[in-house]
Amino acid sequence: MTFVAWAAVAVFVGVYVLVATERIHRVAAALGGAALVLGLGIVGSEEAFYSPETGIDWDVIFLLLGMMLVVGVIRRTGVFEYLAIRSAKVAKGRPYRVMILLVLVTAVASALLDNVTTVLLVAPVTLLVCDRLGLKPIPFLLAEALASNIGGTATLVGDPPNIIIASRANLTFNDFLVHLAPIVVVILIAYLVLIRLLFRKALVSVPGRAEALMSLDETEAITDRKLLVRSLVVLAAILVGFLLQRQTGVSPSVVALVGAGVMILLSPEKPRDLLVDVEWETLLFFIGLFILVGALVHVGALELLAEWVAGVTNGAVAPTMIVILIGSAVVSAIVDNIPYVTAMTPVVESLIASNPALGQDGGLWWALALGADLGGNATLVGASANVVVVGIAARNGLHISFTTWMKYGIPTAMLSIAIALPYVLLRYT
Amino acid sequence: MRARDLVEEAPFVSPDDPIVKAYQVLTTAGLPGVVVREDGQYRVLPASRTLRVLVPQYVLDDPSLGRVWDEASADALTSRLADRTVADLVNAMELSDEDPEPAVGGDATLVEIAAVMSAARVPLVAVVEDGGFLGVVTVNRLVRHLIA
Repeated sequence: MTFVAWAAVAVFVGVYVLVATERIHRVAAALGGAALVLGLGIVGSEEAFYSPETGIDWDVIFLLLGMMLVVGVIRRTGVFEYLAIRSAKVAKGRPYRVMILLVLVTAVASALLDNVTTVLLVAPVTLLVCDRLGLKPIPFLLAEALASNIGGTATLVGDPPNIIIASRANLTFNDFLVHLAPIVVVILIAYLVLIRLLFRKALVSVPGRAEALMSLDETEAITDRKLLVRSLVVLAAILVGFLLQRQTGVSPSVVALVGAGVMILLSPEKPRDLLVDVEWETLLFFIGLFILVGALVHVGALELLAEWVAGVTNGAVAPTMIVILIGSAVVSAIVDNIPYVTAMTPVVESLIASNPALGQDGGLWWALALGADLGGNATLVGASANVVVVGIAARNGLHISFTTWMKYGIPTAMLSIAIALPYVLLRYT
Repeated sequence: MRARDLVEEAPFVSPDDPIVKAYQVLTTAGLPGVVVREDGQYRVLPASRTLRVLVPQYVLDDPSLGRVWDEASADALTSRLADRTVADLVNAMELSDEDPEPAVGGDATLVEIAAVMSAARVPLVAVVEDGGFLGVVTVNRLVRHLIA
């Protein structure tokens, strides 16, 4: 490798360590690294801003931006609070049934919207439900965070790694529904059995408390019925747009942006107030990472990593699937899966280029997505949704420690991967 | 006119007192806040700010949960206060050492009192003379004398 190549690798590793250890803010680390590779001339503006191979993936950025704006309008309608309280009431306040329904609401919402927003909306109402039922809330919060990472795996828009993979591998919303959604449903069912065992001590009802739950009036949560109906219609139209990508040729980023525009027009709030819900930090983090990874691609460093993986597995299909799936799960459990997947997509791309059998039906891409999305459940720092739930719990005086998380996270991640591995091997080899 | 001429009698509470005592002072004395004495220093808890402890954090996080709350369960709020102390109220205010102490001497002028109230953002100040607590000056009484 040339000196320039080593320099690009050194910058990337430095940023990765800073992000993992949280020594400086992840946006500062990623943009600082991007500034270095640009400043050192490793890549120029042409490669960074305009190249589909080595530049910022604007499809990813604008799809995220569009969905953030859409969610910003929907969250203000109170529909999540309504659904959560309604579910608890339908379950008649029986702890395990309440947990099942809240987990399902969280998983489905996470598949359509982003995980962090989903848990931000579901966690407070869960605390209210548990308060009324006299139940310890921590098991419910944990169960929801884990479910949001499982549910998010199912669709193109469910989890940021999926958005990156879809864009780089030219996979459509339907591809995700056909290849990931079915196995996610299986994992979710197994997970519902697992939580019964993991949380059995907490799932004991307190006599006489169900009435306090039943007296909550969930319809009061809906702030603006007209807006709710309109935004659900727009959301449905966006989903139809995603589903018809092959026929219309309109990419998901464009569909999401148009949907966001319509949502903003329909919402009574000022655009400036809606823009508060856009996580600019996340978007800038992505931009920095794309430039950094683009530099690695440009200097050929990721090509070497792909050759190394191919050397370990002899390029054979089954071993490569196993290495990518389990390797991704382990790495994602320890560090943020977004930089990992950004860096791995070029690697997977060249592995498939050298052995097209790996890309049969998108096989290796699904191994990467399943590993990176589901591995994040293992530890508290593995996924953004986990960090957010622990933060909400702490504000409400509930402490969830790193080891407590692992007690429930590791079995969940292991169960998910144990189901995903045979699936990938049976279907794609 | 000086602070000692405007002073109203008011009980103060200490951090170890049960929280309920602070609410009793609020309702019986009819003052817009409670004075807390801690290590010879005075702090004022504006009445509206004491609600932060009464309302669960998750309702503060998601105000729409306040709407689903039925009136019959309002006593669920007070049961949460059983084993809590005034110190919890003080902590919820998130005061820092840099915040000005809302207390004045007995010979403080009206404008001086107004400046202290405004800087500390409190509706009443403690009046302290020779280490003794004289009482409080409320914003109502102060304004009445300033404007009249």
